[in-house]
Amino acid sequence: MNAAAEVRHLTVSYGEKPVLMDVSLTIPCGSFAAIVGPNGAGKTTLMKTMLGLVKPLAGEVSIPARGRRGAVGYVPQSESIDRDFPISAYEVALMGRYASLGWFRRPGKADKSVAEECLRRVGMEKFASRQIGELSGGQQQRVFLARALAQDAEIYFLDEPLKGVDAVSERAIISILRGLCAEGKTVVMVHHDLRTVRDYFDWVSIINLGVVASGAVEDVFCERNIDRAYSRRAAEAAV
Amino acid sequence: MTAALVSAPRLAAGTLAALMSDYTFRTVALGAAIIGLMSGVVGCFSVLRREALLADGASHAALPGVVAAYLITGSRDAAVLLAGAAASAVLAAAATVLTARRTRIKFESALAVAMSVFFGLGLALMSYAQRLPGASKAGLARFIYGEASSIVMRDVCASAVLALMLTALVCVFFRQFKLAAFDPEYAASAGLRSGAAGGALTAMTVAVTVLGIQAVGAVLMSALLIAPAVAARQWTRSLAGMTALAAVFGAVSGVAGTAYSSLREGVPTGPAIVVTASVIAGVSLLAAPGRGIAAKLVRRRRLRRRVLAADMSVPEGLGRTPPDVSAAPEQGTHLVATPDGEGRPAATLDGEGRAAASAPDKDGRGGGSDAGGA
Repeated sequence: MNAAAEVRHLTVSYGEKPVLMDVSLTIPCGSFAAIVGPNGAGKTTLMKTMLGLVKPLAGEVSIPARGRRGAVGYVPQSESIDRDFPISAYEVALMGRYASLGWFRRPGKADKSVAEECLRRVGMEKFASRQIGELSGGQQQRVFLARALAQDAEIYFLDEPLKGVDAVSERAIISILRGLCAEGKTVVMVHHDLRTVRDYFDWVSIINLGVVASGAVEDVFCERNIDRAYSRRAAEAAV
Repeated sequence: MTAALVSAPRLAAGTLAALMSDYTFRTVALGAAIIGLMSGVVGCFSVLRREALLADGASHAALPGVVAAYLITGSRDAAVLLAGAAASAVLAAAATVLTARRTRIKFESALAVAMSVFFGLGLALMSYAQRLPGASKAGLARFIYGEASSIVMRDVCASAVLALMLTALVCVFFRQFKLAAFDPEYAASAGLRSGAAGGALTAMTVAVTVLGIQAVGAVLMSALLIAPAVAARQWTRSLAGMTALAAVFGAVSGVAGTAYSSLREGVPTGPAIVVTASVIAGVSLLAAPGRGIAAKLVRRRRLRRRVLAADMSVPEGLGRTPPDVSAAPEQGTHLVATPDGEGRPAATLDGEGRAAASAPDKDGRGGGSDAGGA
């Protein structure tokens, strides 16, 4: 089993209190992996640390794909961007091609058609000329997904891409991500809805400050582990 | 009466011609235009990156550097004084960033403290320096409110060279700057060095700010960065358009402000330039099509009238709505409508394109109550 991402003894802290404590987990190549855990468990922090956006206090992250530019795709939460930025959905999707362009080359015809094609795949082709701020949260999320698709990465990180998305688009997004996995790509996703974990994913990491369990869904996604993750904070507070 | 009306434009034209033939005015106006142009370009990125405050801090913090440079070297040369200005602006910026990073104090608070401390220090040093023999001739006070008339041809040439370099840099690396301003985290995750682009943008902001304080003054310089950018944002939907337009607005403000202050005795150039830029921004905020306050009001009233009219024919509206929603399950119409839980009004109005799309997010609450009340 080749690891697409590996985290060893990771501790992350913004202030004095650690957000992640001694986290170690592996995500195998080609898997569709969920990161689940209660609010404030450190899911987004774990993802950002894996992407190299947050510096860990201790421990290390190894993602072989980071060696090639553009091989790591990231779909941030849509709240993280400025809604008033003067940019169209198409321009955002085209940004996915930047990594393969280098410093001076401008996006060519091929890049432009890839961007259009990716917008079509997420069902946003009709909104190509819309300003990003004119789109709803779920639509923005899909435009960011199109950007990541345009990048043609090897491993994709998505931070709650289903937040504020209706049932129809949720199914569409999941089928796109499954398609990526079928092509041998790895998809890691912060996920909130425990009811759909079994249906969507083949790998799951349950975290809350530390790793509660991490492995194949059928092996580790059980009542006991979920209870442990979702009551640990409460138990700590009681002590 | 008629004679006065006829002669007014002729008089104005005459004054303008007289101004244009004046060498000093031409030099000063050109210098102010170049500074305005650069401020417009750089300001767009500052505003979009929410770094506008940093420019304000840098311009205020530049003051003690100007006076210190004079006290140490005794030189009146603008280049020497501006070098001092840059040094103290950078020092203040470094102190701010370090404070924000090492302590729990927020960036804005740290900036506010650094800005006040440096500006206060500048004023104190200034009043000490003014008492020294010969200091009044050095014209240090011009750095507070700006005095474009102190611009000489050599300054114009220097800033023209800088403006050319800056424009070339922005044109060549426009893509990188755009990404760094829009989504630096995404850029970093994809392995693009957005840190370098972001750093270059900050450096450019500080450089332009410091350069501008001679003409516009430490107190008001940041307004010349912000106002043209804010005005330009109102008229365009692309970053390239916004940058170009802000450059034009900045340059126009520079020339118009200089002209006004040369015609009116006792009006300093800095405030005149900044007031011009603010007037442009104010008009843009009010009257720009699409994003302007007036246009929004009109659009909203029209929308309201249509909602009310649609409700008059309730049976037809009700009969039409469900097929509208289900007709295009894969299409965007459906997706615009549902997440806000205001499916019906949004779906029926969606044919109207932009009006409907902007209704749920900005006027979501109001739109809902309209529909409910009717």
